[in-house]
Amino acid sequence: MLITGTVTLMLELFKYSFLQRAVVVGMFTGSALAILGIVVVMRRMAFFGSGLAHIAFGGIGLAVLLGISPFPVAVIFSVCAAVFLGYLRTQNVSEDTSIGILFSLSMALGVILLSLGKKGYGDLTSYLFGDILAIGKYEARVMIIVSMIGMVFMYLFHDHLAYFTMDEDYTKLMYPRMKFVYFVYLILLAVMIVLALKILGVILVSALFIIPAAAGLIVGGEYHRAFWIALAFVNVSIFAGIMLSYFLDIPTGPAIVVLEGGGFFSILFLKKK
Amino acid sequence: MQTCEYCLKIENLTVAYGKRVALENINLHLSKGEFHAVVGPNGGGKTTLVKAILGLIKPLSGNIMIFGKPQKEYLKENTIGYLPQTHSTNISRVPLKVIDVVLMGCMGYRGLTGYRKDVIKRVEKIMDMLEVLDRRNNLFDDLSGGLKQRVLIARALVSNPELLIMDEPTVGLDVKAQKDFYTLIKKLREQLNITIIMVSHDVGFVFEYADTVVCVNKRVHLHTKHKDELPKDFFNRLYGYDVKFVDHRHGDPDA
Repeated sequence: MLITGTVTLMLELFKYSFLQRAVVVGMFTGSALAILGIVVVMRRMAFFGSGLAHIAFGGIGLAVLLGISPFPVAVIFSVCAAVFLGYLRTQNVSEDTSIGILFSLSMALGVILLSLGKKGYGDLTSYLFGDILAIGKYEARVMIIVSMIGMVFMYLFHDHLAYFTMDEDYTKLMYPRMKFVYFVYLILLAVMIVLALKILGVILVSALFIIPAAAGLIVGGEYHRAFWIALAFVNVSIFAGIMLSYFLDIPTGPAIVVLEGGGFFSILFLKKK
Repeated sequence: MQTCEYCLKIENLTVAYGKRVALENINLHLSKGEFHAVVGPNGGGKTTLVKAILGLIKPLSGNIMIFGKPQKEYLKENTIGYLPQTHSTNISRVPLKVIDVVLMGCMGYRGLTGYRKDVIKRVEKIMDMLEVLDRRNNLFDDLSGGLKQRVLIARALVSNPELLIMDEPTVGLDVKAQKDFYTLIKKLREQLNITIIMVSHDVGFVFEYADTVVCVNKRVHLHTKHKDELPKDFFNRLYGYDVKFVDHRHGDPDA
């Protein structure tokens, strides 16, 4: 049944370009976010990442109001927010508190701006939960290229980021450019999160950079092994999620997240036994 | 070529965190090739002094010379071996193998695809010297406190530093492990001929093993070679209470 279903889906994939795109874009974006996410999980920045996604919603609202493409505005909005968060840290406001404030402020602003915009509330659901099947050719190209940049960056600097997480002072002493490398990492993370909103939306996107990374670290046990497990985990989840949503006619994003969450807890309980 | 007899010359160094002055007008000359210990109460500025020497904190004023060169110039061309306070790191968050932790000391030599063979060989040689090579594939976090310190010393030494700075390296170690640690440091000094600066709380051990002791509490209160040179009420003035020297040699028939 499963094998027949898989073969049928593969044949369908060749028939419908939107399904081909969904699988390819999902796997590229998911892979890049899974490996960027390992550093997020180790540095305990899950709230930061999730906060950036919600902050991007304000940018989407602004773009809809101005009648321009929402994702470039959302990217700029999130990158500026990341820099502003850094500034607030210097003003003795903790990162958690700043994100908590900007998170709700930007969401509220996004809803107000969307309601004032030409498209009104009609698009709200797609921004909140995403729609991988509705990704256009141009968006797909941008997402694949940025994902490849993210993966190459992680290939080159994964050791540096692990060292920086483990011992900031020592890493700065041994590698004075580390602050810049970390800054580039944060920018790439913000851009990838905003692009992935197309797949899972503001509410669910954190599943892409937290769950596979956490599963990789738990199963892998060792930092370098965690990357391969996270990559396998996210690609199987995305492919199976698209397949499941196609056959059961359920929303794709939530199907991916349910499979990831189910997979994570299964791994956790099996590991304990 | 001009030779320098000092490994470190600090003149009029003042460091502040916002309005709070952590170190005030520090003047210190430390000789080459010796084991210098820095003691003082909590919050007295010992770690701040270390971070200022390493260039991790920007001082308000003052001048630091390392082996006769201005600090910035020296740090551009050389590395200082550094063993930070364990509790200031997030070691348990990153599941790295022992070899990867030691390789941190060679970060500047990492190529695009990894480390060169000669770098790996040097790392293995230092690990062998510190008797941790057989643990290379173990997870660092699974090691005992004493072994972790050996690995971190290996990390500090792989860049062939002339100066090794350790910030409270014996915290959390039992008496046996502390004694092993000091014996190891003594051996390393003889083999590598390096200058060591160590921040410590353990006044007893420090006076037993170090060549000179620097007492810091916001300012340098004393820089001496022998505990007999200390004024009677010195520790009462420095810490606010009397400090007893504990003999650590109990149970050791060779001592």
